[in-house]
Parts: sequence; C-alpha cells; structure tokens
Amino acid sequence: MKLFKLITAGALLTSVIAAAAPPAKKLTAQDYIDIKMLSARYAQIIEHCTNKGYDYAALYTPDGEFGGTNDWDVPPKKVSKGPDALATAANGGPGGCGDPEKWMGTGLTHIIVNTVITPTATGASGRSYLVMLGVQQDPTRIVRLGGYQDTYVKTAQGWRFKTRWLVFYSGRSSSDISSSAPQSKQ
Amino acid sequence: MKFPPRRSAPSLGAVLLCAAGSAVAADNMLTPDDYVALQQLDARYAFAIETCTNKGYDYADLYVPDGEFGVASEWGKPPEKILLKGRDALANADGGGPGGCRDPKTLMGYGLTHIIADAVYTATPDGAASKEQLLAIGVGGDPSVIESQGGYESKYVKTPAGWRYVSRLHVFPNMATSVQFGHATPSVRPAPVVQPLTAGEDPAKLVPPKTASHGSLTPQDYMDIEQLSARYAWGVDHCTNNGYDYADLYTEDGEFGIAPDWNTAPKRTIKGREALADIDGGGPGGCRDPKTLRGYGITHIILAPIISPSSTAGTATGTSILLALGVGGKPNVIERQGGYKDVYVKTPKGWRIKTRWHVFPNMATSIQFGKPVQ
Repeated sequence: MKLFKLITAGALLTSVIAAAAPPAKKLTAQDYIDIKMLSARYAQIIEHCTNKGYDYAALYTPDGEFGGTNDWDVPPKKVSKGPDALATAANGGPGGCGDPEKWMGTGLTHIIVNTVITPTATGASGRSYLVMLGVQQDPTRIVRLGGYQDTYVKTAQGWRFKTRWLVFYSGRSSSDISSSAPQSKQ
Repeated sequence: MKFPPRRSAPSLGAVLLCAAGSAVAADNMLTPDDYVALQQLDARYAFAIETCTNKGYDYADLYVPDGEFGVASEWGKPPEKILLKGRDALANADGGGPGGCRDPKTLMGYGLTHIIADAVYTATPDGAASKEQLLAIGVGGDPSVIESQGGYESKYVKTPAGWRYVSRLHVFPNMATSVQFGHATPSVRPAPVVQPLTAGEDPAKLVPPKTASHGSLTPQDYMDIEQLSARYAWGVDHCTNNGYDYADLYTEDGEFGIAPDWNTAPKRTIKGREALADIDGGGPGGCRDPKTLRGYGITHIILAPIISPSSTAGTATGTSILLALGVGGKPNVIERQGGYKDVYVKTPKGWRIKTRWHVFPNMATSIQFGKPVQ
C-alpha cells in the first residue's frame, strides 16, 4: 500500500512537472537560417583575432559560456564565461591579441557540419559535428574532434549562443590538435 | 590506385543537366520551410547512421515506412540492387533492429564520420529530390584518413510527420578503390608545408550584425543563394553542358578571380559567359580532357556560408570556407584553399553570382596549385 502511494505520488509529480514545462516555441525558416549562420560566423571568426577577440565573444549572449566536455548532455567542469573570458579563449582579450604562433588554434580550419536544430521553450538547441583540418601542425591532417552542443537565445541583436560545449569524440582531447603528428602509417 | 575522373562522367553530366533544367522551373515550389526541413533531415541522417539510437529506429524513421536504401555505381542511374526496404531492415542496417544494437565494431561503417555537403535540392512532382557529396573520415581504421565516398541521390515526400526519405541511394562510383570498403591503401600525404595565416579577414563581413534586421533579404533569398553556392560546387567539378552550367551561375557580366587576401581584389579576372565556361574546361568547342585542367581530381567542399544583405536592394554579399579533397592527384589528401568572397545579384532568372573572388592566401604552398615542395 505504501509502495502504491509512492508510485502514485511519483506519477502525479511527473505529470505536474510535465504539465508545468513550457512548450517549445516554433522556429521560423528565418530562425533556422540565422542559427546556422551564427555557427558559420563562429567557424570563420574563430580563426582570426579580430577586434581583440571580441567579435568572437559577440557571438554569445553577455553571460554566454563555452567549455569542453567528454559526453553529450554533461556540462563542462570549467567554462569561459562573459566577453573577456571568451575573447581570451579566442586568443584575444583586454590586452590585445596574443602571438598567433603560440595559439593552439592557429592553422586550424573548423568544419562544422550536420547541424540539427531543435526548438526549445527558451529559444533553440543544436548539435553539430566538429571536424578539424590542420591538426598536429600538418595542414592536410584531419580528424573528427567531436561536436558542439549548443543553446541559442534570440536577442534584440539576433540569435546568439547562450552556451556552446565542445563535446570531445571518444578518446579525443584538445591535445589531439596541438601535439606533433605521428609518423604516417600511409 | 585508380581513381575515377571527377570531370568526365557522362552519366553525371546528364543528371546534372536534368537537375539544373528542372530546377529553374520547379525551385519555387519548395518553400524556405521545406528547405530547412530537408536540410535538418539530412543532418539527422548523419547523426543517426553513426549511432544506433533507439535500436536503429531513429535512423529507420527518417524514411517513410516502405522507404528504400540502395547503392548505385553511377550518378543518375538506378541502383544495381535495393539493399534495404522497410523499417526493420533499415534499423538492422544501422546496427539495430528488434533484438537491439549489435557490437558496432562488427559493422562495415565502424569508425566513420560522415560529412554531407554541397546539397542541392530540387522540387519534383511527388515532393523533392537532392544530390549531396559524402566525405568519410576515419576510413580504414585511421582516424585521420579521409576519402570521398561519392554521395547521395535522394527522393523525399512530405508526410503529416514532416519530410521523409522515399529512397536514398548511396552513389559510390569509387567503391572498389575505397579505403574503407575496397580495402585499398590510402594515398600518401606529402610532408607538411608551412601555411601562411589567413590574416586580413574582412571584419565587416564577419562581425555579427548589431541588429536582427535582414535588410531586404527574405528567407527564400537566403535559401536561393545557399543553393546557388551548392550548385557551384557541382558545376566547377564537372564540365556539364560544355561548362555553361557553371557559367550560368553568374550574371551575364559576372566575374571570377583569385585574390591573395580578403581585402584585396584580384589583379586579373575571368569575365563573361564564354570565359567562365572556358575555365570550367568547356566552351563552344566542347569539354577538354579534364586531366589537362589544373583543378583535375578535386572535390570542392564549400562550408560555413555567411550571407549578408547589402545596402542596395536585390544584392547581397557572402563569404565561405573552401576545402579541396583529392589534391595533388591523391584522393585521400585534403587541404584548405582559403574561401570565397562573393557579391550576388537577384536577376529575373533568380540569384546569380556577380563576382566570386577565390581568396587563396596559401596558394603558393597549395598541394594542388603551388610550386612542388623540394
């Protein structure tokens, strides 16, 4: 009887939560276009420390954050949050652009493809593949580094990243893009 | 290792001509919502095919209940065999099925990352059709080896649940020489060369706009311009219609040129229909031997298009990233070749390229176009 009450209470709670969850908003075709183009800007801007990295930071909301994680749906343990931290992550920051030769992102092309966008109650979420060309200081070496898991918010300036998490592919880490290339097996 | 020429397959030419011809009349039948939904279906395909989610039924449910998957060796030709039909068969091919997911290491496609690019969508009487490039990374068990695996020809229908595949053909002309499926040896990558930084990006084109305004551009305009660029990738790789399919992507006075950086105009441009058909390997005299062309063997992958309205109505600008696979005559070698910087104009025939600058900062060290490494 006690178990039955617990199950009933649990079921009731679940249905209340489900009923309370706000419905996802409908996205228009223009919303999908804008979100995909936001990600395209990300791919093109990340390679260049324009405006001291603040052009990159401006792709996010003022409280937006970026971080790396090993699994989908698992938040990063550490994030870069806010314009200064994000600009710094893009090799810039208040002090200006760092030496590109010393930045781990130099020489890389971010290939962001297969983006799936889903409407949510607060905006939208997305998942993409991230493939890196030019890893390990070899301009022809390419690997699937992982993917991006995003949340987007529509602001007065247009769509922006609320969060962007780099989800590393199984066994991969940031060291895969910067260490020297192994001897080719080819 | 034999690699099929990319610019001389007559059957592909036929299908491209057919697609290009029908596209002019039928493109307006697909709304921006349709384009978005078709793109999203194709993106979901890439995720689903590599992960046996929901016992493979997430993959199967991208198709109509009696949907088909097959493999063809030539573009525009029916498949030699329909390999899969129906929900259980499709889920099974994804490594799943009623009994659950099998060990992924036992599957032929184990370890592959699918890059699906340059999708061209056309309206058909029954719904829509598309052709797409497929690049696979991680072939032969090496996570850094990439190869072209042809692409897809698909037919879609709009159901009450949304767009679904009626059929999806993997067109795989080079299957016998595939590293993954033909067990061929991948081509040897050349020694790395120093690449200059792609400095000088035009900030005005990259900075996120300060307002959410799209100027005079509608969702249809964005989709049409995106499709124009996708058609470019197919047109430039194949001399169809004697190169005029490529030339007709431009305005009558359209120009192509190569620029050293994002803020410098080309010193010399190719201008007008005849000249543009000529650089595609064609012209009034027909298509030349593709092996004599500098771009022979390349697959163009155009990514991350940013399209911006300009102050003049009916015009727009754009930038994109260009990758080239198959450089240096080596089918498994890929390089970044800068990107494109474009001006588009809306004509009575639709959006066309007014200027396309191939911004190529690393041309001197390019494997395909640079001087040979000593």
